Amino acid sequence: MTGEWARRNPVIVGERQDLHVEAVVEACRHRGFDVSLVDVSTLEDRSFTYLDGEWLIGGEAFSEDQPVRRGWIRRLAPPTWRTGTQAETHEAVVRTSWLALLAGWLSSPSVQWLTAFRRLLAAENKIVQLDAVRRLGMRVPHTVLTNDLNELIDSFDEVIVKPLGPSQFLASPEDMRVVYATRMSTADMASDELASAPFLLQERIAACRHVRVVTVGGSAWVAGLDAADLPDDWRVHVPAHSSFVPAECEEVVQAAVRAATALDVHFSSQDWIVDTAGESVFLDLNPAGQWLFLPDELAQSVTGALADWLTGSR
Amino acid sequence: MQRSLYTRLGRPAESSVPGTRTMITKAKETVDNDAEYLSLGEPYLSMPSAPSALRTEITRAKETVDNDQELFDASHLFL
Repeated sequence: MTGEWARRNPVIVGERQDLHVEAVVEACRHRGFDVSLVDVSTLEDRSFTYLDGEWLIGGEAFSEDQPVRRGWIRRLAPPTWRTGTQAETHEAVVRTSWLALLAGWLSSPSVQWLTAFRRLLAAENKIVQLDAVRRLGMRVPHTVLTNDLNELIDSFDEVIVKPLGPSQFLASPEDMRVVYATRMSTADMASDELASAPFLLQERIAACRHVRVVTVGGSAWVAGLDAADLPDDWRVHVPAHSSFVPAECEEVVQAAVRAATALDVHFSSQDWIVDTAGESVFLDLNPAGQWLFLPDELAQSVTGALADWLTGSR
Repeated sequence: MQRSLYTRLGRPAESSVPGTRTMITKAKETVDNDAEYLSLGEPYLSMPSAPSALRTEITRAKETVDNDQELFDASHLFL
């Protein structure tokens, strides 16, 4: 593929070792398109020049004057890229500088991103998600964020506790910890725990079924997981990771697409539950989430839809 | 470390996010003819996919089957 078409090859922000990236790259190739992979670590390794709005990265030009390329932002950096950096050190400012460079390029109009960078960042915030979905008239769990334990106790006897920030952290250099959604009695909480880092505190809704919905544009694919005998957060139970089955649920499909549209994200991986009364409840949305653990047919459809969009087939 | 709900609820990352299992399964599939890896790889599929345990296992696998780039590309995230 040469000439103008070559310049229209899609761009993915991510690394080849990421299976989700690999799957989409392969699907694009089957459609006759090579893919340019860029993330912050490759920026470090390649030549780059920014000049008055035009970018040259690893020999590839990105300019408003060229045919618009399509792109998908999966991960800004590999998980191990410059980790363990202490704030305000030289290493930290170097790290931030590279990310600022990437953010500048992601914000340039030379690539039409499936989800625009600024939208992706905004949609990561769970409060933003809950507010957007609630405004659509769809059900979300009653949610409190507070550093006032008495306020919480007045509202709930028991809550589902979820991180508002990242779910993983290093307790020590060799001790990675993860925080899942966990049921807690408010009487068991301590004021300083509540005050030191904001957490989402939500009503517990008895789930009949866990639902993972993946949206690409106006299309959605749904898989369900029987909630019987599972913990509140199904991710704790490893066999559940491979126990989802394709589900027909037009109500959730439509609701998930509306939620993604409201947040202006054109790809999303959403978690819903169906309660014991059969009502669908939105839990959260990941604008760069995973789908390959879902049943093959469904996963391939999602991969194909992404490749279709990136290559201009849809 | 300051006490927070993170410190109270954080547990060793033994149950991975979804995708870990896919990656490991795929790594196994890509090197399915490698008998040596199969013997090493089986524990990945039966154990709770713990990053810390995986790190050890994959490092061990790497030492043993160092020429299999695909396996290590797939497992890269855990190293």
